Amino acid sequence: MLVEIDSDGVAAAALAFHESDATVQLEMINAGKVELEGRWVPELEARAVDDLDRSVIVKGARAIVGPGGFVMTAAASNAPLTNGFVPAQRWYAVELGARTRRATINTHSPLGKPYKVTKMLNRGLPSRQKFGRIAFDAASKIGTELVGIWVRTFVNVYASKLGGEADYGRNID
Amino acid sequence: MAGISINFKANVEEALRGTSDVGTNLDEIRGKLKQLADDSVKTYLEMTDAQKKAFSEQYLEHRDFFRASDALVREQRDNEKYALDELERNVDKTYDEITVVVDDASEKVARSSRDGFEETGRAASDAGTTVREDLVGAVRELDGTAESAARAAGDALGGLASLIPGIGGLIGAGLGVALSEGIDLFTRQVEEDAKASEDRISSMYDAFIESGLNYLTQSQRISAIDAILGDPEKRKQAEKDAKLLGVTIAEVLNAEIEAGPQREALLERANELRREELKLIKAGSTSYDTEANSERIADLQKVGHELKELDKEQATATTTAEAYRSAVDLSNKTLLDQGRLLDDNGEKLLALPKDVDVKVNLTVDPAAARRNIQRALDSIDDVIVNVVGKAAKYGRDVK
Repeated sequence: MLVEIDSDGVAAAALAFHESDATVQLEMINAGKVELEGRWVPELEARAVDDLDRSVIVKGARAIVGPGGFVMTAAASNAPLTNGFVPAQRWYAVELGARTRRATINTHSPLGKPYKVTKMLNRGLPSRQKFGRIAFDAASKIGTELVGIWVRTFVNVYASKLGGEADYGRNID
Repeated sequence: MAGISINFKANVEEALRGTSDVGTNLDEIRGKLKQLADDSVKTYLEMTDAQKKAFSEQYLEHRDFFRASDALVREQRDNEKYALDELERNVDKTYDEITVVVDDASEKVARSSRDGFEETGRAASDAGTTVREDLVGAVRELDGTAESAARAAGDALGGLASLIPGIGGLIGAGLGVALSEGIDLFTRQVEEDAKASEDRISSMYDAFIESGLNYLTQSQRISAIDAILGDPEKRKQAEKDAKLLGVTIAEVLNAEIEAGPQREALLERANELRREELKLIKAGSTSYDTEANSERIADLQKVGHELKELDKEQATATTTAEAYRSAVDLSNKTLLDQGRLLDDNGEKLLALPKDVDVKVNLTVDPAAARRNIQRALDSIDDVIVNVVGKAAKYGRDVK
């Protein structure tokens, strides 16, 4: 998902990053990561309802910070759950939910005798929603704040290196 | 990447555009921006409508001004760049041309200098040699005292004057004049003394004229000299004769002048008359008037004596150089416009140009003259005086 940042603070963050050397840039990135994840993960956890949400969506949530923006990730785990559910591949089932449906499944007995069985599928998943429940919802809610955190972090790190006040962007929105 | 990725992307390029040169403290920028915002708000709020309008107009004016100045600066930079490029192109081209021109010029200069020097050297050497020969020889001619030279000339001329009776007067008179002129030439005195001599000689000239005798005047002599020196071929011939005969140019000129057409005519006439007289004498004719001839000879001898007296008066000549100088001045009276004065210094003589006037001295070998005189006195047979070709006998300087 791509969110284009349209903020006046972008110039400040970009300039701060651009004018810094590699060491400061790395520090900016690390600080941004910490700040962003410190805001992102709690927000995800606050939206997670049950263990399924937490084990699928919140698991592996992190921030990838760069000079031109940042990437908030969630449901990044590739470890399958006990029932074989891989969060990184089937995250949409939890994030967006699914409709339960009746389906007839052709199967066979242990002796090899084929037979049909009717099941109700998607029964354990959240109900179907048009928009995301956790990650996307969190991103839409705190996206602007994340941008501000990103700009602020970069500028503050830059300012702290220059010896100035590190409180720029407090009211940025 | 699997999982949920929400990419927050910012267009930093546009943000960085124009800000790359800004390397100032962000704190400062932040402060200025804040101040600007505060001031703008405050100012704007406090401004009246008229001020707002004026502020807008001023801003527009400044904006236009800066836009125009930016345009001018850009144009100026473009012009400068173009001019610099053009200059570079021209400099390269000009340098090539200048290099070529300099190379050519340097070669030409070197070549012309080399040739010029060679030519000048040759000319200088030639001129120096010729001039040296002429001048040194001429100076050597006059080596010794003027007195002795004048005496020797007087003796010679006096003796020659007695060689040819009858017509001898003519020649004698001419020689007498030549002697007087020679005395002038050999005299080292100043103009007035020379003039005095001339006056005395002029009176003698007058006497000669009254006596019906012919003589060569100084102007005629100078003309004769000029005729020889002025004509390159004649001059060359004179030089060649000098070399062949082993004498100086002066001697040759002297012989030439003495043996000029006038002189030759006189000599020829004298020879004719003398032959006739000899025939008559041999035939036993009594028309030979020895008394008259003796009288003529006596007259001429008297002239010779007078000239000798004149010699003594003018024998106070000091150095040969000054005598030579006055002689040259007198000889070259009509040729002084060439502005050449000879110096007794040999070096200065050598420095004279090629076509310097060659002085003329009237040296006559007294020994040869005496021999002739003796021979003539001993015998009145064919006495033919032919000055032409006598130069060979005038091989000795008058000492």
